[in-house]
Amino acid sequence: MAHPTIEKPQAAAAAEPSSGDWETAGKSGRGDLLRKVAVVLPIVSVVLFLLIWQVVGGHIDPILLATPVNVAKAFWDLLTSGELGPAFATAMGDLATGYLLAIVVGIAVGVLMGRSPIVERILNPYVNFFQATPLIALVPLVVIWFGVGFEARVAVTFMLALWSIIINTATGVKETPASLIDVGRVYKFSRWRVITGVSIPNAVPNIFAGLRIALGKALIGMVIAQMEISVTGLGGLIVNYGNAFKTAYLLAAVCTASLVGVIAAAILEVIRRFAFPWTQGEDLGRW
Amino acid sequence: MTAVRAGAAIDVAAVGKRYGQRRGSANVALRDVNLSVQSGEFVSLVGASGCGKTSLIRMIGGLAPYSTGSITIDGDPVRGVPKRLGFVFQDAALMPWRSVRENVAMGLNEISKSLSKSDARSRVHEQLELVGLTKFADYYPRQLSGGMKQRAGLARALVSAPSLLLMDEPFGALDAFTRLRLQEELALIVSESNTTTVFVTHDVDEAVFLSDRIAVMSASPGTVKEVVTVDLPRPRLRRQGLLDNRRAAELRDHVLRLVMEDQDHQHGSGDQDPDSVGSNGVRADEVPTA
Ligand SMILES: Nc1ncnc2c1ncn2[C@@H]1O[C@H](COP(=O)(O)OP(=O)(O)OP(=O)(O)O)[C@@H](O)[C@H]1O
Ligand SMILES: [Mg+2]
Repeated sequence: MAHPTIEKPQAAAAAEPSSGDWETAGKSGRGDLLRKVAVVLPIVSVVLFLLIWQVVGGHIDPILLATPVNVAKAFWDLLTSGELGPAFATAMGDLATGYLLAIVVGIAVGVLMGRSPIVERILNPYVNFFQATPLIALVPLVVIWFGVGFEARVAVTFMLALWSIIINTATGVKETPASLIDVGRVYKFSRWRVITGVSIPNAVPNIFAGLRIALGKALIGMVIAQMEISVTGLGGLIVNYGNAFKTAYLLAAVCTASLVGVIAAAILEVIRRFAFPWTQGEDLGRW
Repeated sequence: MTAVRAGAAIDVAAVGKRYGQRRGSANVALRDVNLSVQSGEFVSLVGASGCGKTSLIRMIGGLAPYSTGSITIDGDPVRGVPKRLGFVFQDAALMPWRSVRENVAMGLNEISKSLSKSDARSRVHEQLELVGLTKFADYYPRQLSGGMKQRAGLARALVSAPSLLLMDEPFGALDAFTRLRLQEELALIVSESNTTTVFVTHDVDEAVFLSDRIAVMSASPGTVKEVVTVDLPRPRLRRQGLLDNRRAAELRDHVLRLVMEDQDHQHGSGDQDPDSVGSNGVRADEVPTA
């Protein structure tokens, strides 16, 4: 999905490309072939899957399973009829609002928990409880509190995304190496600077790991909220076409929902690469 | 460099350090340590692994509390990190999210208010040149070798021309040639400035070359066993000349004997461990017969 199969050589971060870049040095022969296979493999896999689906789907009642071709037709139909655009926009709006709120609150609470053992002790029971609870079960309560509009959908999205962000941020902040804190002390960093300049940067890789997990959960929250609370957006399309037994249209809406996820994940990845290029070392070990 | 200031004077008196009381008895790391270092002096700490060198240097730097006794710097008891300190950590301790240049510039934080931007930049540049990292100034730490990281850590400690320099095996991760070059650079810096230096090392030759005095520590519990004065003429700017200096060989032999006595004692028998000779950076055929 959002993870490209091949990591580009990281020349961008290197100021001196001429100084014996080992990553480009070994780029020949067997490695080259492996790289090509790595590019082709996922494409082959997807094409094969679609073919099998098309063949199998052709022999099954279209209410039970639509063929890829019919799904594509339905997609085009939804797009041209002007139904898909607004649904997509509603989905993006709900997701972005709930998810961004969860990022802000999650990172702030996570940093507090990571820095202060007292705050950690106080909040840990709740964080662990909500992380382990199937929060979808709280949707009726959210409706009682927020009604059936935008606020309720945002609340569900927020509620699902929040906990992974808190937990990962707190872990990253808490696990700041003692020697880096010592560096801050030796060179007389203020308390505030130790947090913003040492602990939070140290947590960035963890924070992004949390954001990726939280994004998946936020998507689930957004779609469920649109299906169960407002019957609007992509979730609304899914419910309505499901009730009408129009399977191809239902699946077209589902695919659009995954597109929302892919786009959001791609944005996240782009931000990580450009704003935090130093986090890119992690994948160096994979051939 | 900046105007010559007086280096800090350190007094360690009857200091003890014990670590956490987990699993029954307290783990006593240091007991009754006495050591005073004069302003501008270079003192090395040598001793077997685990004898408490890192613990001692961290207490002097105000990074860890001591359990008993007193440590003063210029007469003031150490409470927290003293002013104008440079510290080279055993594991470099660079911030992974900062380039080499930015990591080095961190060493100027304390005096940044009294320094213009261009002054700060040229100081950082000067240090990078000194440790041979100019070309790698914009690299991130993960793109450096272990020795390069250590050199960056060294530059960060030196960049503010500190009045107290604490170094915990700063050259441990370096290859023999870079090590030699940096030893000579350090000798030059120390002879030009008035910085007081406490230097932890396992390399007795290095200690002899750089130090005014060498404090030999013994283990369990760690304490300063003997302080050897290195009465070799200064300036000593070349390692070369020192390798075949008779007095230097004698001193090295003496210090080595002290360290190994202690190890033999610890192992409970007199048999020699050939590895411990190697780990002290001296080959057996180099040790002259006294
Ligand atoms: N944080 C700690 N908690 C408990 N014990 C510790 C701690 N740090 C060090 N010690 C103990 O104190 C003793 C001295 O450790 P220290 O790191 O000062 O040794 P060292 O002389 O620097 O060794 P090396 O040459 O291997 O670096 C050791 O026995 C070690 O187990
Ligand atoms: Mg040590």
